[in-house]
Amino acid sequence: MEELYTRLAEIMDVASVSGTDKFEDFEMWDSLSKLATVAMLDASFGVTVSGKELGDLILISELESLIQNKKKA
Amino acid sequence: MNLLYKNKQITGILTVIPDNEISFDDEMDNYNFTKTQSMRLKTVMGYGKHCIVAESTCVSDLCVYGLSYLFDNNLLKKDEIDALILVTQSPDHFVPPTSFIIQGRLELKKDLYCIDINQGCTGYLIGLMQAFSLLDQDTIKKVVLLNADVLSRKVSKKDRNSFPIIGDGAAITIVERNSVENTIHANLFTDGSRSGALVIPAGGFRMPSSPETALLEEDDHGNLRSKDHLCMNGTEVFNFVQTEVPVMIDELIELAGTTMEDVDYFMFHQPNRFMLQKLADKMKVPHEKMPNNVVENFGNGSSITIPTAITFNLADELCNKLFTMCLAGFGVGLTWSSMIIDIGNLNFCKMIKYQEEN
Repeated sequence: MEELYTRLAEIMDVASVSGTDKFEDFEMWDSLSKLATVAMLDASFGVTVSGKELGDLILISELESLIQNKKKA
Repeated sequence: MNLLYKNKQITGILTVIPDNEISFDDEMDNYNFTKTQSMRLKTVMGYGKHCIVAESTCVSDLCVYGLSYLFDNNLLKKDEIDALILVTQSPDHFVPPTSFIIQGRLELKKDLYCIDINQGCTGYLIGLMQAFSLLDQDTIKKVVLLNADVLSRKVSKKDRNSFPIIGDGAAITIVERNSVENTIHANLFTDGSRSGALVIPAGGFRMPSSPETALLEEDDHGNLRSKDHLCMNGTEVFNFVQTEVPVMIDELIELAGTTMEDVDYFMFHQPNRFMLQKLADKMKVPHEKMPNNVVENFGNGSSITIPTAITFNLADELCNKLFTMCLAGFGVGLTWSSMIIDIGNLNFCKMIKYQEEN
């Protein structure tokens, strides 16, 4: 899942992102970043995540779990 | 739903775009975002400028202007028009239908078949389908399809989600029978249960306009709009497009017994450059085959984006050559539809500017 963290860092325009970080702590976590993330999840992981599902997440690690759950389904 | 049309063709396309061009940079101060955030949006989404009408310009004004241009340049004769289809979401009035206003203003014949269709993003395809069906009547030889909207008048200037991308304009497409046998394949899907992704909540009869509906409210992202304004859920629309459109195109290609490589151009509705690039990547279509430059130059004018993409990118070529095109529309309703049709050897294919009268 290293790719997830690399891509999130690109979207948030920061050096790196870790699982224990909270989405809301990032200055760049706005509606555009959310759309870019949804697009990235579709292109890089082949999963569809809605704006609401993304908005409900608190920790970055929760996104990793969400992706894994969707892939199993 | 799969649809099949035989022996029909497009013989001319004209797009009418307002000459009032405003750049994203000039409107940035209207939004509740920092300059850095706005510039980032501009880069990622691919915004540039959009062309919108003056506050008083209506759909019939754009259509009358365009049709007059065709009459004055001997590209169309009044008495040859047997049917007038107007696809719009922003009519001059609720009553009467705007196609009648256009007929009246231009003094078109008294037994003209006039009809308004309320559709947006998929409106070019819906309009073409209606035109093809009407042409099965012996008495209907030439159909004028009008697609036109002035939706900028229904979008909040403080809505960074929607205002930068909205565009206005009209497209006039002449549709006739084809003496050469041909087959046009199309498919169509609808899902009203997800209609909430693209709405104008107030102004109809479910929620009439009132002083309350005119009040600006802030959404979760800092955009300000009223219930009288267009409201679009960006991520929901993105997911809808990425999920449904590639599947629809695959089915159409199989239905038509052709291949993706045999399609010369994918002329798709243009929500914005970002979405179209992601869609092209998902479908493994080279970006050159799926033009995505309409929104950054003119804005998203709902059902006119496909004819705008055609007249902006291929004007002269389409007067001399024939191309196999895959058209697709997706959006409000929700609806999504696609069509494989050869377009070319047109009598005219151009874009003109609409100059606002004082």
